[in-house]
Amino acid sequence: MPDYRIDIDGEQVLVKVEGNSVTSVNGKPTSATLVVEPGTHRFALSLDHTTYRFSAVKDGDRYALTGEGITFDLGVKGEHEHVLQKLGRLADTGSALEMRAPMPALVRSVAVHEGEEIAQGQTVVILEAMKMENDVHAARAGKVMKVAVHPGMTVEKDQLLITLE
Amino acid sequence: MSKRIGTLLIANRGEIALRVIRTCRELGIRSVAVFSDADRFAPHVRAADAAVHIGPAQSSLSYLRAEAILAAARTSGADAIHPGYGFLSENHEFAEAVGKAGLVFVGPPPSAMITMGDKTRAREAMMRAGVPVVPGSNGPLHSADDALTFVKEHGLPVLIKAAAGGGGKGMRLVSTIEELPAAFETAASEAKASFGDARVYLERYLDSPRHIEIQILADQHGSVVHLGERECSIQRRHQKILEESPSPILEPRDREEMARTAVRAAQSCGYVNAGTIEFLRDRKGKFYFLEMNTRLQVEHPITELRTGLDLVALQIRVAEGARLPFKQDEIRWSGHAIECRICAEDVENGYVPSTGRLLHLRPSSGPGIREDRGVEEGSEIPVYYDSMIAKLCAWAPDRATAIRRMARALREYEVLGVRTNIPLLQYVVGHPKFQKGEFSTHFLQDHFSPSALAKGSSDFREAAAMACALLEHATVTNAHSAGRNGGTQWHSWKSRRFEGLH
Repeated sequence: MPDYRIDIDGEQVLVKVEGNSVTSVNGKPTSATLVVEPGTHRFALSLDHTTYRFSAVKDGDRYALTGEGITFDLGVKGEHEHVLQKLGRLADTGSALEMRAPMPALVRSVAVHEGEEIAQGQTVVILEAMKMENDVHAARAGKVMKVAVHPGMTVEKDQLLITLE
Repeated sequence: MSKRIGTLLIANRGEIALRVIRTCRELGIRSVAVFSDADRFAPHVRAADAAVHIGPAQSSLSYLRAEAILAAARTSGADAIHPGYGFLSENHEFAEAVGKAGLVFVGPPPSAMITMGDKTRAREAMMRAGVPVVPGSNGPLHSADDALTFVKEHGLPVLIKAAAGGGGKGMRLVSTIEELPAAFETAASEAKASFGDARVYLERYLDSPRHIEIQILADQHGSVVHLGERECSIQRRHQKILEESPSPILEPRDREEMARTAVRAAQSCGYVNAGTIEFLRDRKGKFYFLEMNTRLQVEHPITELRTGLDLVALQIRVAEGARLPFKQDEIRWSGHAIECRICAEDVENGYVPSTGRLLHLRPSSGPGIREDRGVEEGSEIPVYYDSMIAKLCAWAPDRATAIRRMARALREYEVLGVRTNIPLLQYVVGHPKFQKGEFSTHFLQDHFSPSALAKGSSDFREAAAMACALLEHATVTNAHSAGRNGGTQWHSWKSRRFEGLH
């Protein structure tokens, strides 16, 4: 059940979603659904029989949302975003880097081989999970020491994928 | 001389260009728009019958280039030019050039612009006409010593103003005698840089004044009328953000006296067409001439809402040589009107202009709402020009209703993609002092700081967070394949259908 971490005006709100409903907010069971007016930016959130009307646009990787004269600037991190962050987007300092699977997934392809010198940001493995493909990138440049997976295999969360020197 | 205008070129852009074009359409006059590179897709360009490109985005290379405007008039067959406000509207050399080119200038004669455009000359003319002026230096100051002499006689604080300035620009407040010499030098060099004229003069700074202005209209046959007052005291750094008519403070007798004075001021400089005399009213109720604006003003809609008149149409008719179609005693006023200037600025961050694209724009409408706007959803707010998005007006039979109506309209107005001052405007109309009519030009200084802006209840914020999560989830689960950012790069989901959402 996907988690979304919303930052709104410096506050963090954790929202669990299932299908098109919210199931909890900051751990508190909550039930809310969304109705979108097709072809517009407008929608209505139905929460315990109260309707909140908003308009919103996605602006880059943030959302701008307005309702009742108040405008919010929100950042959203879905579970897949966490995953992407763990997949080596952050620069590392220097010791051997073990790149591990951030969630259970299917290995779609492996893009490097042992002994290869790779650059920071280079795609090393492509994993499939939640019907999405995720590129695993090298957090820094280095030499591939060990390739621990092959295409077609499934991996558990935290299972080792690649070791960089 | 009576000469019907067949084709009118509007030497301006944005909402005022669109405003003039609309009247042209109603009068059966062919309209010509001019546009810079930045305004190629602007609404005013599409609305006109013809459009001529006049230069690059920078105003100095386009909207301020008289030769380009005149050339556009020639190629488009225009026989008249309406200058709008700002840009060349108060440039007497431009007005003269228009006349020399055999075109009608929809505005006052160059001589009136000269008299009233130079602020020290205007003060002198007003004093000669027996119009009270804010105590100030007689003519421009020649040195900091002159300034000191004035201050010794008239006291502090004072405003150092550019003689070639106006519209709230080129002013400097001096509160202590020590600051005076340096302030004088800086003001002079700033005046030179901004207006090409280093001359400055001094005015006594009035304590908590109210800015009240009178709209006048004069024809070429000597008839001058007033169309009532507008109070424009709600200002930020001398820029108006909210105007209303009538003024909540004026008694009928004061109103009559101010109006008579304004008419006298217009007559004294041989004024023709629409103009506005601005006054400052002190706490004791005394009023003083501040300046005259020899053009149509931004806030003219509230006068139109109360009188039912079309000021642009009247401007055109006057320019054609027609007599005013009414006498002073035939003019009627009804109800109360308020205008809010919705601007693309980041109030919480020093009012920095917020440029960008209007990703979402949903204006307010309904009973008693008038909206003048020259941009649309999808328009860019470019860096080159002012940050105004729209003028939102509310009319109602009385002030309290007009305020409630404006509050409703501000709540309904939606803009995404740039920051706006809507929260600030909501704060003003919701403030008890404003509602009681107890304010001066210091209102924002006295009562507002960005921390006072409403943030929404925590329930509302939670709802917004939930909505965002659901939208993101819908986006993500509809993506065919994910790239680095979940695969979607659009700004809105207008073209997407969401399975599972109905």
